[in-house]
Amino acid sequence: MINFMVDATKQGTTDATTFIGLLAAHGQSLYRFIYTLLPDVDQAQDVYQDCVMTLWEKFGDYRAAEPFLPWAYRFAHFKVLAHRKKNRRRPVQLDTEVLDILAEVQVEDNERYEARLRALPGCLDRLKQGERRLLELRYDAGATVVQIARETNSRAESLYRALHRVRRKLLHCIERRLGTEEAG
Amino acid sequence: MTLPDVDPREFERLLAALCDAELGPTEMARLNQLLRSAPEWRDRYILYMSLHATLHNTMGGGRAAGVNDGGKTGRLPRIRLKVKGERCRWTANGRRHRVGLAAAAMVLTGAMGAIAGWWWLTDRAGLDASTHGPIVARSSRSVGVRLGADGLSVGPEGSMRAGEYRLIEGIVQVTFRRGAEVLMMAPAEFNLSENRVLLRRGKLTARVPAPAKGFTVETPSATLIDLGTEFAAEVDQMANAEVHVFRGEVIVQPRSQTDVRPVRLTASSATRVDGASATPSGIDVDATRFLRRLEEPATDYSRLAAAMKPRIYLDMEPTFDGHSLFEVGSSRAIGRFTPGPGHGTSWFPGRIGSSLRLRGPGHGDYALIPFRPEMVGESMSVVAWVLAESRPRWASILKRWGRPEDNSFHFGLYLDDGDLEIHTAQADGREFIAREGRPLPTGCWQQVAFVVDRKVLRLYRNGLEVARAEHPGLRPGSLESIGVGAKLNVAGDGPDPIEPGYWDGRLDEIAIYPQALDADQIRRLYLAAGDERAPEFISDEGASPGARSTPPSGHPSHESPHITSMSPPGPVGPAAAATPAPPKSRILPPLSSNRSDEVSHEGP
Repeated sequence: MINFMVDATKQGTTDATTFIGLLAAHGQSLYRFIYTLLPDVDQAQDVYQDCVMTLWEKFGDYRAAEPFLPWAYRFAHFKVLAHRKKNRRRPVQLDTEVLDILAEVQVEDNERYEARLRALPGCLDRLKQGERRLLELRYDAGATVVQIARETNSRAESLYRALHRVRRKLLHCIERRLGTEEAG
Repeated sequence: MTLPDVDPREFERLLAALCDAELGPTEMARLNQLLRSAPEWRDRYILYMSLHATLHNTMGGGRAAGVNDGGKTGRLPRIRLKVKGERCRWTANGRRHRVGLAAAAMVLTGAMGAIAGWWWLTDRAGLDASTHGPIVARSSRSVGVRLGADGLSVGPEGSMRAGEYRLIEGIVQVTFRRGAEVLMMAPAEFNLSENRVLLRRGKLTARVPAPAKGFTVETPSATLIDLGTEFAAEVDQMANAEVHVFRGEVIVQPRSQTDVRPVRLTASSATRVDGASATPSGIDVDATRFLRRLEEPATDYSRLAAAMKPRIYLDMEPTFDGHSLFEVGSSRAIGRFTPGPGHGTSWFPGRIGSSLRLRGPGHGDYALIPFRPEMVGESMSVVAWVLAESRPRWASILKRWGRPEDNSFHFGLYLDDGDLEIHTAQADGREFIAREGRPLPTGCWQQVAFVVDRKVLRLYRNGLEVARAEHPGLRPGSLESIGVGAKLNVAGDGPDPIEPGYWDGRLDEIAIYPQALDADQIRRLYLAAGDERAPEFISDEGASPGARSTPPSGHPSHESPHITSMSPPGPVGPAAAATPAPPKSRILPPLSSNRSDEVSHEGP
């Protein structure tokens, strides 16, 4: 399979080009899906990478008429379950039953969640400078809340709350925008 | 939607904790219970966690490869592709792989990486260090570090293994097992091993305590053996090496084929060993090129400045991400430094501790700091230390000057004349200016300040008043940021696209006070810096810009203070570039003459 992939990529065959195009378009959604089931950055990244390789191996079975994400989500769901099984000694995890429901909801309602997150860039633009800066520190600079607190001489507790407020504000903005679009 | 018996805030707290901290078993059990109980909770959970993951991927992950990876979500992905069914894995340098599988991964990765918007398999981090040599040091602090993918990265808990590193951006403080502490400054290529650095290119400073005596720095043209000291080394593209000793002793052993006699350098001495002949040549020690501490020292100056209660105080201590500017006054604002490409590192020795270096119009480095109009009233003072490498047109120190209706103050150098100026605007379009009338000296630290209240606008340099104008009081303006080293655009979120007025040189100890400081306070601040230069931050007197930092005796204002006002001041902005500068200096009668120095004309 791998050899085929190399050949296909070298030759620019339709399969490889299509796969890469689909992954470029939906990679973020796939990662988001995995992260909601496995809310740990390191583990989610590992599963994502495994998942991409498996998707490519199975890409021969994929039918072009079929929506890509629900197809990819099924593999990702199994990958998460397999990863959890391998790491079952980690005690703090979502229950398998909960995880299955969350996966199912997202497969069924994928378009609704996608539409909401498409509104995010516009909402980010509406943040105040300080709010935007806090997000940049947390996500761009990769600092923990404790690190930011130390550097800014602030209380970590206040920063937790501030970050939560910004995320909540973004979610409200997304809902408002979507509501406006639907009404319009 | 009704969710009886559950406080939505409890659910949100669990989600926030899941993103930013850790959930304990009890909390996770509660979260599971809630998620099982109602589809509404599941919906909220999916949206919240999707948002968190999206923010992480769209905003994050680009800068601080490896070193700043303490953040749970900020930890960057290692570049690897696991291949199903195979034990080996492909890493970015391809040292361990089976050819076919690695090639497959590389082809896939390369093809994917070429796609715009592809966000995952990009060249972000260094190699996975876990498969390499023994741990010989740890990264004890870092500033905006970006490591090359063709070198090692920093491992868990900051561990650094023996091997090659390529530092593209930032500063990393490396602490060796025997205690030697080294600051590596980008761009640099180096190899670490036990109590030893091979510096192929770049700059480092080292502090070596007694237990680490014998710490060695190798360069292409010489080997430096430390005898318990503090020193700096730099290797350029031509493999020429410089060694500057600040304290203690260093033996420099040239790698010469013909003359291998070592040079013994003691405190405040330096040598250059050229790459071609490996012959040592004595040079003056220069502390101004080498940052020796990341911590900002507590000094009489900083204490005095803080006692005057600044609203904003940028002491320019290097920050962990290399882009944030933490002000230590009362506003607690977080500014943003935006360097142009290829900046390597932007923190250099300052007048006190470290300073921010901006490289002028060719590079577009600038910073901004959030500001609210209510932070000051009609009175305000700004005091800063600046070192100009050149005097670019309209070079900016601190400006809050956006749309005409937002204009407040404009502090920097005047057009091409390059003299210090402070320029303010009123709501009715009148502008007021005070100019020194002679070019700001380059290559040496200068204290610059202005004070404005409802009577007068005063301009100071090195503790003495150099110009003044009558003034009706500061206009609040509405721009919510201040440009540092550049004039901002009308939105206040980036440099002005037409006339940004980038600063070329270093800025340090920028303080904004919400009150008018008197001449004695400005003078005391000036003297406090002079008296308090920490020895580790200064060089041999007279050998460098830092050392030449403005002894009072050399200052022009020991002549009579130069009382200057311009009327009209000339527009500030694009139109001004084509407008001949007004006469520079007009000696005005004393302020008590009731002369108005206001001018009324169109704003910039």
